[in-house]
Amino acid sequence: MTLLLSIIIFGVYSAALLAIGAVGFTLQFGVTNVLNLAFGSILTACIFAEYGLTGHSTNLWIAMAVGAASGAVLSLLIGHVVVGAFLRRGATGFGIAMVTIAISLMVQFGLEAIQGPDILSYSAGSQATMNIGGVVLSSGQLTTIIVAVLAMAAVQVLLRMTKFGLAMRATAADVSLARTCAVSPARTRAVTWLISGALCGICGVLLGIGEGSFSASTGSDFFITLAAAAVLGGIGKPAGAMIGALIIGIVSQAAAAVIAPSYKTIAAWVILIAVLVLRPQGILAEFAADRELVA
Amino acid sequence: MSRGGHRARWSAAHGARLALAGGLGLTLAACAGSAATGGGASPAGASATLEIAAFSPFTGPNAPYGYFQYTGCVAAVHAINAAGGVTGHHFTCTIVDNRGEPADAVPAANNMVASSPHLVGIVDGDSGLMSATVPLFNQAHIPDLSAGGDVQFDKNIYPYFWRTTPGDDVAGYTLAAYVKFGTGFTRIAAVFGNDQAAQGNVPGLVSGARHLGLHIAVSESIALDQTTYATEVQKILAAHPQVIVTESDPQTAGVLLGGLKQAGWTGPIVGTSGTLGIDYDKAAIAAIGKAAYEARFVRIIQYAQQSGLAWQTWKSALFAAGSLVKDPASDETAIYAELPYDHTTMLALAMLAAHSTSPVTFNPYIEKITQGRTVVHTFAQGKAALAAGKTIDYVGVTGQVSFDKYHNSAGLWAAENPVTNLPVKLVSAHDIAAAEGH
Repeated sequence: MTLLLSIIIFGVYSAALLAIGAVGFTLQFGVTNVLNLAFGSILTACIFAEYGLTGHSTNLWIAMAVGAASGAVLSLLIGHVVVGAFLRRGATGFGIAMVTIAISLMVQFGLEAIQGPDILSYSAGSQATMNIGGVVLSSGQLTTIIVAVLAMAAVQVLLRMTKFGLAMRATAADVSLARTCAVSPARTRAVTWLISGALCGICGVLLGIGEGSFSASTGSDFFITLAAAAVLGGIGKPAGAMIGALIIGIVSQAAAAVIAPSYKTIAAWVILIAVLVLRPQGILAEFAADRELVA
Repeated sequence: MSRGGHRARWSAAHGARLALAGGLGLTLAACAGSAATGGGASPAGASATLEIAAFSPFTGPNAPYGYFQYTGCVAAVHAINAAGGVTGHHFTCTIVDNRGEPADAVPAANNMVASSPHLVGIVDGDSGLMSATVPLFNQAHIPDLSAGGDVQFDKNIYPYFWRTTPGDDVAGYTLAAYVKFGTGFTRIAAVFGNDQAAQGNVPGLVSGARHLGLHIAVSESIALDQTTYATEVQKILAAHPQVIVTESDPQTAGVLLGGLKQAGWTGPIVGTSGTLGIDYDKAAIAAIGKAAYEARFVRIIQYAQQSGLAWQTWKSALFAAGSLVKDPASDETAIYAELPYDHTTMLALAMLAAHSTSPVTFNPYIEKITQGRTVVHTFAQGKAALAAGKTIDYVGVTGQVSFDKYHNSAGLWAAENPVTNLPVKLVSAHDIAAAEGH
C-alpha cells in the first residue's frame, strides 16, 4: 500500500516538475512555431543565475522569482533578439532549430568553461517533511506540486479567459488572420517568450532544489524528458503537456516499483511511442497546417 | 527522466582530492591537441625525448581524473629525468584528452598513435573506455599501464596491456568482505547505478555475500540522474536492510541519499571507489549533511601507504615537479595520481632492464621488473641495481605488484572515511580471498 502511494505521490511530483517546463516549452512553440532546443540550457542558466544572484537563497519563493526573472530575460533575448534576427532574414524552421541547438551548446559549454566540470550543491527553503500514509514528502517536493498546479491553472486562465490569451491562440492558429483582428503577432510572441522563459526558470530552480545539486548539463539532460512530455501531449498544447507529464511521471514510478528501477525511463518512452503510433499528433493536438514563421 | 551519460569508472582510489582538478584540467586540455608530438612504436632516436601519454579525460565531467593521471606521470618523469633518464633519453608526459567518452576516445587514440613517433607508453584508467581503446594501443604495440577496472580485462588477451589494480568484480568481493568483517551486519541492500562501471561491482558483491553467508536483501539497479528515487527507496527500505552498499554518479547519489534520508534511513552506507571525489562529497553532504556523511559513510578503496622510501620519493617528486602539479599537498595521498606515477616508473625501469626503448623489446620486462631478487622502491634505486647486474622487484608507492597470466595485479584495500580521507579499517587479502570463496 505504501509502495502504491509512493508511486502516485512521487509520480505526481515528477509530473509536476516536468509539467512546469513542458508547458512553457510547448506554449512558446505553439505561439511562435519556433522549436526552441535551447530550452534545457536556458533552464540550466536560470539555476546558475539564481545561485549566483542570491548567493544560494534560503527562501524558496525568492529563488523561484529570481529563476523566473532570469528565464524570462534569457528567453526573450534568445527568442526575440537572436531567433528574431534569423527570422527576419527568412530562416526556415529547420534552420532556426539548428540555431537554437547552437545557442544551447554555447550556453552549456560556456557555463562549463566558467564553472568547470564540478557540480554545485543547491538547496533552498525549509527542510521540513510531511508523512502521508507512510510516504515522506519534503516541503520542496510539496511546493513543486503546488507551484505546478498554480502555474497550470494560471496558463489555462491566461489562454481561456484573457484578451491576451485570445491573442496568443489567434497567433498560434493563423498569424495573418490574427493581424486582421488587430492582434500584434510580434508583441504576442515577445510576451510568450517571456512567459515561457519564466516557467523555464521556475522549473530549473525547482529541479535544482529537488536534486540538491546541479551542473552545466543539468537542464539539457532534463530537457529530453520534458520535450517528450510536450510531444506526448501534443506539441503546442499546454493542456496536453500537462497530461503528457503526468503519464510519464506515473508510468516511470510504476515501472520502478513493479518492474525494476532500470526500466523506469524505458517504460516512459515505450508509452510515448505507443501513444504516438495511435495518435501521431499527440494526445490533444490536431494536425497543424503549414504555419507561418514570423519575427 | 533519464539524464544519463557516460561516466568514467576508475577501479581504485585513495584519499584523492578532486576539487582543484577541474579548472586545471581545462587549462591542460587547451594544450592537448598540440602536446603530442612524437609517436608510434618504433625505437626512439639516439637523443629523442620519449613520451608517456596520459590518456584521460581532461575536459568534461571526468576532467579531474585526467589531472591525476598527468600529475602522477609528470612526478615520475621528474624523478626519472633527475636520475639521468634511460640510455641517454629523457622523458616527457603528454596530455591526450579522451573526454571520457568512447566516441571521443577512439579518434584521440588513433591520432595519438599516428602522430607520436616517440610515444613509448600510455597511462590511463577509464573502465568505460578500455574495450574501445586497449585493442588500438595493443595493435600499435604501445604498452598501456592502466588503473581501469573493466571486468572484461580480468582475462586480458592483449600482451601490451598491464593493470596494477584489480577488476571491478574484485572490488565487489571487497565490499562483501568489508560488510562481513568490518561491520558484522548480514542484510545488504545493493543499490548501484545501471551504468557499466557501477554494475561491475554487483557480481562480486553477490558472489562474495554468498560465500560469506551474507544476505542480499534487495538489489536495485537504478537509472541514473532521475529527479526522484522515492519509489526505489520505498522498495529498498521495505526489504529491511542493515547496510546499503552503493555506487552511482554524484548527482544520482545526491537524489538517492536525499531520498533515503527523507524516508528515515539512519543506517550505514558503504560506497565503492566510484564514489570518490569532491563532486560526490558535495552531493552527499548536501543530501544528508556533513555529520551524517562522516559518521555513516565509508568508501572501500585501494589503499596506498603513506610512509616509507617509495612514498617519500613520490612526495618529493610531486613537490619538485613545479608548476606542472597544481596542488602537491593535496595530491600526495591521491592514489589516482600515485598509480600513474608507479606506472610511468615501471615503464622506465622496464626499458632499463631490456636495454632498449623499443616498446616491442621492453614490454615483457614490465613484468620482469616486479619479479627480481632485489627490492627497489624508486627509479634511482632500480637503475643502480640494474646497472649492478641485479634483477629487481619494484615495490612503488602503490605497493607490491604481482602480475598474473592476464597481466592483472591486485592491491591493498581499506574502508576510508569520506571526510577525513583516513582509513578506518583495512580489508585484508585474507578477507577478500574468503569472499572470493578461496
